[in-house]
Amino acid sequence: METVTKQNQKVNTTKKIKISGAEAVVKSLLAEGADLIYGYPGGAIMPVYDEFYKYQNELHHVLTRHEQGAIHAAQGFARVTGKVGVAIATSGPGATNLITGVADAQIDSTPLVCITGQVGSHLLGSDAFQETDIISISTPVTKWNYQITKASEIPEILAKAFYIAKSGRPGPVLIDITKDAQFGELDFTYKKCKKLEVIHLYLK
Amino acid sequence: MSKIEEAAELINNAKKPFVVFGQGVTLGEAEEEFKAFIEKAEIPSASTLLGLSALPSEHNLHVGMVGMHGHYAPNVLTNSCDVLIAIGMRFDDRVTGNLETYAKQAKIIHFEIDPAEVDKNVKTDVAVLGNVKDTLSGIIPFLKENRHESWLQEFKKLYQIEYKEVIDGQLNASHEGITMAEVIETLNDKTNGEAVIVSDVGQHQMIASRFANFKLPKSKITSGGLGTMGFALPASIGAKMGAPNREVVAIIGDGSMQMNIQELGTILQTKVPVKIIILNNEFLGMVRQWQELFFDKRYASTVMTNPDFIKIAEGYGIKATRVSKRENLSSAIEDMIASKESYLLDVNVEKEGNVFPMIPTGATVSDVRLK
Repeated sequence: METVTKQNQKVNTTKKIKISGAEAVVKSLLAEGADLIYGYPGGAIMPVYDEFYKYQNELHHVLTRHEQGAIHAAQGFARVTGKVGVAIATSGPGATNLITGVADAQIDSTPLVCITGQVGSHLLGSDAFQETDIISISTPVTKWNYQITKASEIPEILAKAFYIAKSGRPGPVLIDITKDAQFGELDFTYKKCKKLEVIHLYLK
Repeated sequence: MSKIEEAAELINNAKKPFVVFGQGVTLGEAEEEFKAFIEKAEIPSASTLLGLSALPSEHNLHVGMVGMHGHYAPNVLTNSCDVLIAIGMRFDDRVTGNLETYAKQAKIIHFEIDPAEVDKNVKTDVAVLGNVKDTLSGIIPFLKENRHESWLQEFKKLYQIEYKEVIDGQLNASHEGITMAEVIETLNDKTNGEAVIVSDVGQHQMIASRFANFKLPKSKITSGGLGTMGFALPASIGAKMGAPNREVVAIIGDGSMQMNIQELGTILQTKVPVKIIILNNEFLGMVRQWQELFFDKRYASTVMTNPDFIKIAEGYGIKATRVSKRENLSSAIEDMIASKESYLLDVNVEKEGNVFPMIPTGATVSDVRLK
């Protein structure tokens, strides 16, 4: 009995320091001071929205009526404050509806971080429901983009996203996060990005 | 000699220096450094569309906006200056017109953060790379205090021509139909020039940019490079949330309003108190203007049959009124500004007003049409 209890305690302790990828998204946004964001929910981003519900006292999410509204609102916020604007949407049409605003932010040098949900990584390339290759679509209109397929990548990639959006000539960054990466677990520590030696499209 | 010193030497020896500043000043939060720079060397300075509000509109060295629908003097005198100093701007085609005839007589200095922009459209003599907050503060000690009185007079003389030929008729119209310029001028008055103006894309955008009086930085938000209709309504929501203590006024055309009209629902749910002015001429006005000027008035698909915007606003729980008579404009805008909640004002403006001056696409920057 005693052994079993000890094992349970050990498991519980380990679980306490692990959080989900979705929660890591929220904690990363808060670490960047991004507590006012704009978006529209949908299937492939639901784990993150579930965390928005839990963190609603710390992070204010504004539900717009269309993803294009969300990204333009994020642009308006960024332009009037000088801070990075954040827009979030689901995969497929949610992601493509952001694109006009991404292109607008690119040509007008507006710092944005866009987060899109993506189908589970095992479904990538299978024409799954609401799957679209938003990385290819957004490549010519973003300053940087990246697809996260593992929960453990989330803090570092979001830190880079905020840094790249705001540094030098500002611009939009798009981070696509597969649903399994949102559900997956990681040990969360957040270190703000202060400098990148090389900014490369396929930066790991 | 460093690039900064090279640039300073060109500026110190210039008889007719001219600054064109863009959003780089705003993005670098370099408004104070910029002002100190132009004041020390007394350089007339014109804004790009996105540079607006980086320097107060009423500053004595602010000579207006360059570009297709910019002001007469800075466009014409681009081709008379001897040193053109571009600061945080990217020589967009709407600014330069025909590159073959753009400022060919001038030495070009480009203060720019993005190396990819240097020599992209206009070949520079001196490029100073970096955040303009750093590079401008770096150059100020090398600048001579200078005066360019007769050069400034050239701008003032051309402004008088523009006032007489264009501005006066728009601000002091006696014909039926409110002009867009009157609306912006009244808004300046009622907000003391302290509002954030969020404009969409089209004629209303150009008139708002030409006539709005900006006293504070980060006061002009518009879709510049991409020209995205439907930008202003959602952008004004984000702007008001980002600057809750400032008055935020969206200036939107009747066409643009219907491109993201669903965002009235976001206003309903969040109760964000943005003010919305629709400059409603029942046309896609800018395209109609081009059809009038370049397609013999064949108004293909630019006539708009619009919904009742008041009823729509009311459906979203937003207070709304309509104004169509000049004598009611002032009190209507006053009521809108006084409202603590969001408010929509549908202004029925003259139907076939045009935006002038205008540099037709591909024409020389100094070849400005006043009518």
